[in-house]
Order: sequence, then structure tokens, then C-alpha cells
Amino acid sequence: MSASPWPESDEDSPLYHYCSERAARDVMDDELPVFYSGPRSNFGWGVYATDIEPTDGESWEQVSIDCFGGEATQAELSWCFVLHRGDAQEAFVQVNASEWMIERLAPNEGVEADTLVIEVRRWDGQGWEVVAEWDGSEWVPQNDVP
Amino acid sequence: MVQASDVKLRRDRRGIVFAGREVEGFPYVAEMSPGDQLKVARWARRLAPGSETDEQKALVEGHAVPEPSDKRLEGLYQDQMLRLPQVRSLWRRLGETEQAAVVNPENSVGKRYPLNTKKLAQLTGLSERQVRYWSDLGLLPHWLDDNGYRHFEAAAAIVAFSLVHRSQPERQFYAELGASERPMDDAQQALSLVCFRLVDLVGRLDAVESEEMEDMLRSAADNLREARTDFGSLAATWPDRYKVVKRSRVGHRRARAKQG
Repeated sequence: MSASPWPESDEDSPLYHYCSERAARDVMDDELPVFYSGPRSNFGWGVYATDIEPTDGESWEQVSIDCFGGEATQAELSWCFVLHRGDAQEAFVQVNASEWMIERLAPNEGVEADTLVIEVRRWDGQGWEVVAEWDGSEWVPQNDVP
Repeated sequence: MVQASDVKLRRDRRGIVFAGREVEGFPYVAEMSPGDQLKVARWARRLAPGSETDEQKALVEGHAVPEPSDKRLEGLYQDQMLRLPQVRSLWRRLGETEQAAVVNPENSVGKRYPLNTKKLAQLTGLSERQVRYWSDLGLLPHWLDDNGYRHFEAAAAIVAFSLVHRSQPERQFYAELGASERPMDDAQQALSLVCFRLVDLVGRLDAVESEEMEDMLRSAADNLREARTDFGSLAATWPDRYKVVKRSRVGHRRARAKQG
């Protein structure tokens, strides 16, 4: 019997960190991807992710409802990093039915993510397009995203 | 000579690709650049704990997670603006076409964020002069590049679309509030008048409308509290460029005051 109070989640499946375009661009522009803990959240400072996969135009709404009490807008959630669940040093811990986090003690503390990121996608108005894949050393652009 | 970028993490995360060859595990390779040696040492600690050599342990122990750069702080600030309750509230009042334009500006003006003054004007229907004016008044969040040019992110597009919908007298009111030397006083007076009218209206609204109005006012109060606490504490870390924007706003007001 599982000790987790939440429905079982496939440990091998990825997690998704939804964010704004500006936030995604900043992560991609740095030499190595680093996420910084946000200033405020339900479960404390940290970097958050969800198991809600970006599949269609409603995905962001589901994320907003399940993770932000319905308050977050599409502009805040229109880009998405696909992530491994963790490694020996940094691992996402489930904090809610659809929320995982890597905890930090204060805002603006970094989580180095070069072993966590897989790819980044964005909502292009019709579907979730892969913007770039992380090849372990750098972002490899896909689909000629402007 | 091995190039600095000549090592990659394998897709299965069980080893590296070095000089074009797949290598099992995360070995310390003396001929790698120091940057690549550190990379591989970090991967060893994270992905194959216990496999690190003494050289790799020394490298990792001397490594600290980088502090956010000014550019990252600027991005965090822009994100903070996007999450403000009033920006979310304005977003909910935009039409579907406008929301789509905010999310994917390239479909309308052929350019992604950050947008310059001209592109934000094209996107929202404001004139370039209006964009400059409203940003100088502090109503359109923006940042300045090294040459002093304004750049706008999604939060500014949401506010700009909202301004387009306002009548001229309303815009005039916001402009005066933006330029006021005592904006809190003026806002308090305006809010008092609005609340007086709202109380008068409540008896004639249905329960859902009343509740929505209460939520709006509560959100405004929460927002003020955040300005004093969380948001205010983050402000201490805002990048110099933002401070430059604030100074330029003050300078603009002073210049206008001098002009009479």
C-alpha cells in the first residue's frame, strides 16, 4: 500500500514546469539552465512542476485550476519545460495531487537544472510546439520558432 | 586541443559524449577544459553518486549555484507584474482575440517578446506616443536596454489593451493619477467615491455579481498588502535598470512640471 495520500503517479513519466515566455527565455538564455525559486507560493519557496501534460488549448486552464486556484492566466502558463523528476541531488517531491516541488529556503535561490530539463514547448495558438531540446550541453532549436 | 563545449550529457543520462564518442559513466578527463571537468563532476554527483574521483569532489565542492544575473532579476520582476491580481483581473476582461495576441504577439506583429515601443503600439492599437506616455507614467511596465530603449513584456501588453478600451476622460483620470505627486491620496479619494457608488448598487445586483465585486475589492486590498510585504521585499533585489526606469519617470515628471 502506498504511503502517499495522492493518486499514484508514474515515477518514470516527466513533470512539467509551466511559465511565461519571459521566464522560459531567461532560462534558455543562460549558459546552463537554472530555475530560481519564486517569491510566493502555497507550499513555500521553491521550483514547482506538475504532471499535467501540455496536450491542447485547455492544458493551461487545468494547471491554473489545480496549481494556482484558478487565478493564473494563460500568459503566465504559455510555455512549458519538460523535466525529469530528479537526480541524486535535486528531486521533485509531491506536495499536492498535481504539484511537485524542489524546496528552497528563500526567493531567488537557484536550482541547477541541466540534468533535469528535457525540452521546452510553447503554445503557438494551435498546439504545443517544441521550441528546443536540451542535448545535455545546450539547447537545440526545433521547428524554426521565431 | 579539446574545445570548451566538447562534452555532452548522454540522453540516457548514464554517461557522456566526449570528443564525439560515447563514454560510459562520468570519468575525470585531464585534457578536458576546466569548465567541462566541472560539468562532468556535477553530473557524476547527481547521476552516479559515489562514482566521483577525488579531483571531481574537489571541483564540485568549490562550485556554487550562480546568483541570478541582473537580466534574470529583471525577468523575475516582469513575471511578478504578470501575476499581480490587477493584471490578472485586466486579462480576464480582454477579448479572446486580444488574449491570443498577448500570448502570441508574433502572429499579429511578426515579433515575439520583448516588444519595442513601435511593436507594442502596433499590437494594441495605441499610438507610439501613447505607449511612451503611459510607460513614462508607470502604467506600462517595461525595462530599458543599455541604449535606453524601452522593451515591453506580456504584462505591458495586457495593460495596454485595457487602456485602449477606456474612454478619453477615464484615460485622463489615470494619467493624472500617474502624474500625481500624491498618488495614494488621490487613489484613496477616487476609491471612496467608487465604493460609495458600489454600496448603492449592491442592493440591485444579484448575489453572484455582488460576490464578484467583493472579490475584486478584496483582491485590491491583498495587492496593497503584498506591495508592503512580499512584493516590496523583492523590490530590494530589482535590477538597476528598473531603478533607472523609476528615475526616468521622476525625471519626466519634473521636466513636465518645469515646462508648466
